[in-house]
Amino acid sequence: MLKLLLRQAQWFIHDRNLNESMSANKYFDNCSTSFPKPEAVATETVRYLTEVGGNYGRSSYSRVLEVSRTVETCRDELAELLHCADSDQVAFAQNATHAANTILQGLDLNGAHILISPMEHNAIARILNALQEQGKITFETLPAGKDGRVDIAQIPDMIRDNTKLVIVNHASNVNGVIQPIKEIKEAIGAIPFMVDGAQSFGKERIMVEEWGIDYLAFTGHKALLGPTGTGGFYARNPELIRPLLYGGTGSRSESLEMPDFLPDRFQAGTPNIAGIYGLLAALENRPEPQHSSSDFKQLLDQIREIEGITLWCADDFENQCEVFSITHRDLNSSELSWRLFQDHSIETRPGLHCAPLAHETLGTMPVGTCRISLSPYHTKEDLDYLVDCLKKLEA
Amino acid sequence: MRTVLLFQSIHKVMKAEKICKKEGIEYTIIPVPKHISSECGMCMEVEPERAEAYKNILEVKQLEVTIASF
Repeated sequence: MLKLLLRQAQWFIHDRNLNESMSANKYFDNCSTSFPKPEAVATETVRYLTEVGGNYGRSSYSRVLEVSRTVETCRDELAELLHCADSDQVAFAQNATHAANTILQGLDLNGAHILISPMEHNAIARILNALQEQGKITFETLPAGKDGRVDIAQIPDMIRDNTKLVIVNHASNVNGVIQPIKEIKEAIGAIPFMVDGAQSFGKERIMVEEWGIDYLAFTGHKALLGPTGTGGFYARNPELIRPLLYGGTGSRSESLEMPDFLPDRFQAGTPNIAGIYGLLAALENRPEPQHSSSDFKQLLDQIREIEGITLWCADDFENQCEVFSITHRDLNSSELSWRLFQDHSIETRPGLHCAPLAHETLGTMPVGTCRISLSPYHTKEDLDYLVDCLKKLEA
Repeated sequence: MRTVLLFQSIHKVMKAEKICKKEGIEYTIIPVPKHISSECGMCMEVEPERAEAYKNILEVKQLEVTIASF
């Protein structure tokens, strides 16, 4: 009986915290998926499902035309944000992982040596590991500083005759370090360059053409603030990529072969139209950040001063994306994350964040860290609340 | 006689539509007539005597266009 009462009391606290967290912005897990979204994301997604209907390009009646216009407008706006002149080079995918698989399994990499940053997510590392186990490639990590930022000066020594690709995670999903993309491209010369933009696209400036990026994978549901199930990739030379999926495209239907032109080459099956309606709404209704860069810097400075807490972030604030990690002297990352939620309704993500290579680089294996990731909707007051809670945790 | 402008993909049709709207070109998007071979299921019906001029406008904007009449 006592046990039952205790459990009920625990659930009461849990629910109270959940309700409390839903009424204020204590959600600090935006690198998992962003929340909240701009209101128009839900409105437009529902409008597609309840009013618009219709498929993409499969006929010529009004519904199909509206859907086709929306999908292509979304592609155009993504291309604009990537600073890519031709939206033909942007293909939709379910997420950044799907996009990365399309690129890495579609390129001819047989016999290739691939260099990666030491902060790669498993969305890249597991694909490479699988290709390596199949005997197709070898890969190794680029030397870096202690925050995982690639050491440009050492890049030339890492390049071999068969280095066919360099892959870099633009912004780490663990400590938020931003890599010097343009400088890395300058150091690798003509070797094709792939960037994982899962965490950065929407937060950080990306200029695929000017920076010499050949491939970039992105997701729609993180910094772009769109729905889950949306994402895609940019490819400078998409004709070099074999499709990952084969099927109907609504074009060249008399042929059993996939079209060789873009974007149809990578658009087998009906796209996530409801999601793309939401993603376009997110692109067109981007909120003004409710905290400033100096508010964020102040947050990091304040956390750095808290006794018992270690901050894991970029060495230089100039290279810091709005995500970082903390560890606690007495609590492991799971305990820390759970205490923050249980005591203060603050939602964070503990563990390895699907990025064991990054944690090895930082020296935070095997327990990992408690990750805190911001949203443009966080106010200075939300950040102050976080600092207060972290201080109370110590006490 | 009716005339249509054919494109490689829906993506290109939508690109062409944006240009047509901007340039004040009159068009109707229709399904590609069955007996015409096209890579894409949609096309733009335009006034036959203006088709060549419209094609030129679109090609300046890097769009490949084929004219077909039926």
